[in-house]
Amino acid sequence: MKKLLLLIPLIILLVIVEAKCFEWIPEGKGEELLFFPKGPFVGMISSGFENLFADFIWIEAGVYFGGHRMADRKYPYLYHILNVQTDLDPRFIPAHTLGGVLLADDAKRTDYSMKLLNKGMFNNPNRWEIPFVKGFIHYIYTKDYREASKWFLISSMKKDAPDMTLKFAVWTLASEEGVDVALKLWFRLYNISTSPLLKEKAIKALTKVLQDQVLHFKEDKGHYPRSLSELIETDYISFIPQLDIGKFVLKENQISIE
Amino acid sequence: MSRVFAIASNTFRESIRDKILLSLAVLGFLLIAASKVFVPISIGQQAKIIKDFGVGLIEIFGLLIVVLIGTRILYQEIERKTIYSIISKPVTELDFVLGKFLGLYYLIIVIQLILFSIFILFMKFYLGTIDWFLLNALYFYLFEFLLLDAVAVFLSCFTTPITAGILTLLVFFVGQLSHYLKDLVVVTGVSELSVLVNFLYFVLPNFSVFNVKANVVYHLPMSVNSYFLAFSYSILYALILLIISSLLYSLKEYQ
Repeated sequence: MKKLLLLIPLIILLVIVEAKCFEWIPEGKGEELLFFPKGPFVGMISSGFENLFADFIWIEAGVYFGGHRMADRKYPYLYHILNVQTDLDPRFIPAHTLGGVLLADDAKRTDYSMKLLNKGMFNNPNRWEIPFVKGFIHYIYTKDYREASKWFLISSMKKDAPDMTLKFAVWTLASEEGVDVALKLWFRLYNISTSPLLKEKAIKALTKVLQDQVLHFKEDKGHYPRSLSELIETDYISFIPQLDIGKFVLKENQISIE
Repeated sequence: MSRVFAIASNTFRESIRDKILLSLAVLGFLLIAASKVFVPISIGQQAKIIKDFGVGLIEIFGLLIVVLIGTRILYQEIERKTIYSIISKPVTELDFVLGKFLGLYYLIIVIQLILFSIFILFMKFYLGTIDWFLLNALYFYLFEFLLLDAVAVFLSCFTTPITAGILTLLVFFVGQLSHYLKDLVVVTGVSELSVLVNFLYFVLPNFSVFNVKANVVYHLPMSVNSYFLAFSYSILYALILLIISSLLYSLKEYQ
């Protein structure tokens, strides 16, 4: 009975300490991954279980990205995490493709994005997805249309590459900064992606491209289009992307999904 | 041979009653199921995560069974003094060591089959399809654990269970890094190391021969040679270790 009486206040004390510990410990500012080891070292300590370790690092990359996206929108360690992940699991295509887009789009580091994609192509020379994303990044972010066309062409030569890759190679070279190509590229990325994060990014980009065209229409004609079909009829866009979750509509001059 | 199987079946029956085994089996089941927990944060890669976790955790549980149970089976006989009833019968040291080795190996086969069956059910339940190519890993695991079982029996001949357990784990992990050993001389540039490194490379079992996890998850082609290598390498190595173990055991008993 005495022991039980001693146990109850101890348990209460422990609960209080646990509840307060987050208040007492100051939140780290950017140093959360300061000791994140390098790929070859993780490769050695994970001996034989590289894929399992790589999965944990992939999850860590998602948590890191999500955490910073909700907070400061800065990702100084994103490349490092993805680099280690791809050292351990060099065949994991989404780490290269999704990682490449996140580095270029959110982290604004196209140099790191290219490094990651080049590494991916070196390790997976037969896959079409990585040169396709490299072409995509050249088109959308670095605006180097010749390079974009070159990488789309390389992608089209790979085994299992969809016909669309060759069409992109031609379009990018012919149309330079065409709105239609951007629309098609984002829609293609939306379709090939298995990642909800990349799909969400593609939907946002598609919405922005369509909204920009609505504003161009207003500037040119002096009034807003009645519907998205009017944008097709007047050659502002050539198609309306059909999404799994609904379709784009023009409501009160704003693009939305229904 | 009947004497060997009698010892093996007895060892199997004893091991299956071990509380550690039950705890490991429950933990194995829970952890394979727990891979589902990571699915919402897997950024759309649930199929790969579930496959990697399943294949990786099944290997880890095989390893734990060998380390926690395999390293105790010889020691328990001496501790409980049941060894005297065995050596009083016409049983050679090799029969005894082989029997113990096979008893543990039966247990590993049964546990591996159960864990793979659970994993297949999880795949069907969570992914909707079964990736039968992953079963290639089972073939390699069975030969990997055959070798590791022999290592554990060998080490437990001359050490305590705790030391044998730690050494078995070390041999397993260093054996996975065999390919790094060769690179060590090149990276450090110390040519004097090459004799030692080459010695370790050939003496320590090379467990990377059985590491096909990436191949089975990514459906990479595997040559017939790799199947033959896993089979022949583990059987040859295990046989040599078991013969040395029986020699050590005879020295230990009759000193």
